[in-house]
Amino acid sequence: MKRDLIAENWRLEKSRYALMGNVCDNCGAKIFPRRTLCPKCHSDNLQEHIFSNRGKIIEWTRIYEPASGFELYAPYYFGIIELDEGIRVSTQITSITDESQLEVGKEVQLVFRKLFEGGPEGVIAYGFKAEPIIE
Amino acid sequence: MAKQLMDKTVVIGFDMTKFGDLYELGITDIADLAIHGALKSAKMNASDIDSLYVGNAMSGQFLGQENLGNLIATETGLDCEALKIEAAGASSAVALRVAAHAILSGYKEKVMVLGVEKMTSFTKMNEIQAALATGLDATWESSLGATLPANFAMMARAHIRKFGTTAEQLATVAIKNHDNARLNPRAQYKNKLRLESVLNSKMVADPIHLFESCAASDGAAAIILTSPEVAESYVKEPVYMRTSFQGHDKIQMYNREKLWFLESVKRASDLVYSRANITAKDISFAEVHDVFTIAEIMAIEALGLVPVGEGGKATVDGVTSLNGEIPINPSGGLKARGYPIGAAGIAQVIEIMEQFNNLAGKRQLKDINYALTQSLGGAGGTAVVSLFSR
Repeated sequence: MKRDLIAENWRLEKSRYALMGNVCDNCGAKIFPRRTLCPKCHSDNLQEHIFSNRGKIIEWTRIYEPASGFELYAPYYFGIIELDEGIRVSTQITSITDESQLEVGKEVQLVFRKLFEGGPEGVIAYGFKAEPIIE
Repeated sequence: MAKQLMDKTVVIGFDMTKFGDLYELGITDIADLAIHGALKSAKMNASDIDSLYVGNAMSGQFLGQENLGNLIATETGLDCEALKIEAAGASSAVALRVAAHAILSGYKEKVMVLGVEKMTSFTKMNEIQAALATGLDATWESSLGATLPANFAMMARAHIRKFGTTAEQLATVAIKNHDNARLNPRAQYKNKLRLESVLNSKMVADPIHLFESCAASDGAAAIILTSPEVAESYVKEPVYMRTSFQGHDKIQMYNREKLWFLESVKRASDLVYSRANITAKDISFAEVHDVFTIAEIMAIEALGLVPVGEGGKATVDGVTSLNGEIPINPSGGLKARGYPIGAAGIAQVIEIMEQFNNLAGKRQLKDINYALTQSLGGAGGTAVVSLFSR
C-alpha cells in the first residue's frame, strides 16, 4: 500500500507550506494547523495567522527503519519542535552535520522541503522540515 | 460516568492459536481454531452465541478485507450478528469492553470476543512499518516522517533523560519476556535472549533496537463473555472481569505534556482501582502492552505497580520476573509470546484465565488475587485496563 496523501496535502497547503494557522477572536487560542472551529471554545470566529518558523527541539530520535516515502533519507533525524508561539509539531530534522546540533532546547527553524512523491502520477508532496540555525 | 449497578462479567470459555508465522493458515482458519476451541472449552455450540465482536487492526491493509465480522461469522459457522472493532493495538481490548457493555446492559447474553490478525504472508517489512504508522496521525505525524518506533524512541529518550533509565534496563524487559515465553507452548519466540544480542541488534529508532521490538505475527484468541447469572450453568468457580476502563490521550505525541509518562494508562487504571475499591498494591500480576521495551517500563509505572521512574531498575532487580514481587507478562508478552496486533488484548485475557485456572504449566503463579490486563493503541493515545479476580 502506497501512501497517497496528495489531495490531503493540497487541502492543507497553507499550513504545510506557509505555517498558516489561526488565532481565535473569541478566546485568543493560537491554533495550528488551520481549522474551521476553535478546538478550545468551538467558535468559528477565527483569524488567519502565520506562525513564526523559529523554535526549539523538545525531543528527537534517529530513524533507521523509515516511514513510507522517506526511504531515501534513512537513517534520518526526527523530532518534536516547539515553535516560539508555543505550538508543537513533529517532523524530520535535516541538514545536521553533527549530533551536538540536536540537544534538547537547541534552536531550529522550519523550512520548506520536499517530503515524498505519491499517487500514480508521482506528484510531489511538500511540507516543512526543521534545520539547525547556524548563526 | 454512566450509572451501573454492577460491573462484573464472566469469561466462561477461552482458547487461542499458537502465535507466529502460521503460513498454512488464513485469517478465517486461525479465527475458526480459536472460536471453536473456546466453544469446546465451555461445552457450547455455535448456536449458543448471540454476537461476535472481532478486534482487528489491519485486515483492510494487509488482506484487502473489510467487513471482517461478517466474513468470520460466516466462515466459522457462528452465523450471528458480528462486527469488527478497530483501535490499533488496543482493538481486541476495546472489543472486550464493548462486549461487557452489551452484557451489562442486558442486551446480549453470550458474546464471543475474538482478537485476530494475519500479518506475515502478505507484506514486506516496510509495508508493516507503514501499516503500524497508520495508528498515528497520518497527516501530521507519519506523512512528515514519523514511525511508531520513532514515537516510542522519543518517549524512551525522555525517560532516559529524566530518570537515568539505561540501555541495559530497557533490554532486560525483552530478556525477561523471552525467559517467560520459554515456558509458554504457544509463544512465538522461545529462544533465550542475551544482553549483548539485544544491544548489538540493529537500531530501529534510537535507542530502540530490533530485539526490543515486536515482530510480525499471525494468531487468534477468543473468549466467551457472559453475565454472572448465565455463567452459573457453565462454570463452578468463575473468574470475573471486575471492571474495565479506557483512557484517552492526544493521538499526536507532540501534543502530550509528558513524553516520559503514559497518561492514558493512568487515566484508565485510576478508574479501575477506584471502581473496584482496591489499589495497585492489591494486584498479583499483570499482562501489559510491551510493544517496545520502553512501553512495558512506562506501563508498569503508569499502572502504579512500581514507582514512576523506577520501572527499569525494578526490571533489572527482578521485581517483575516470574518469581518476583509483581510478575509482568508471565505469558512472554507481546515481545515473545507474539503480537498479532488485533489479537493482543484477548491473548492477555487468556493468560489471566490460565493462571487463575491453574493451567499455566511451568509458568504457573501462586496465591493470585487480582490481575490486570493493559493494552495500548497507537503510540499510547488509547489505553484499556481491565481487572480480573475470582
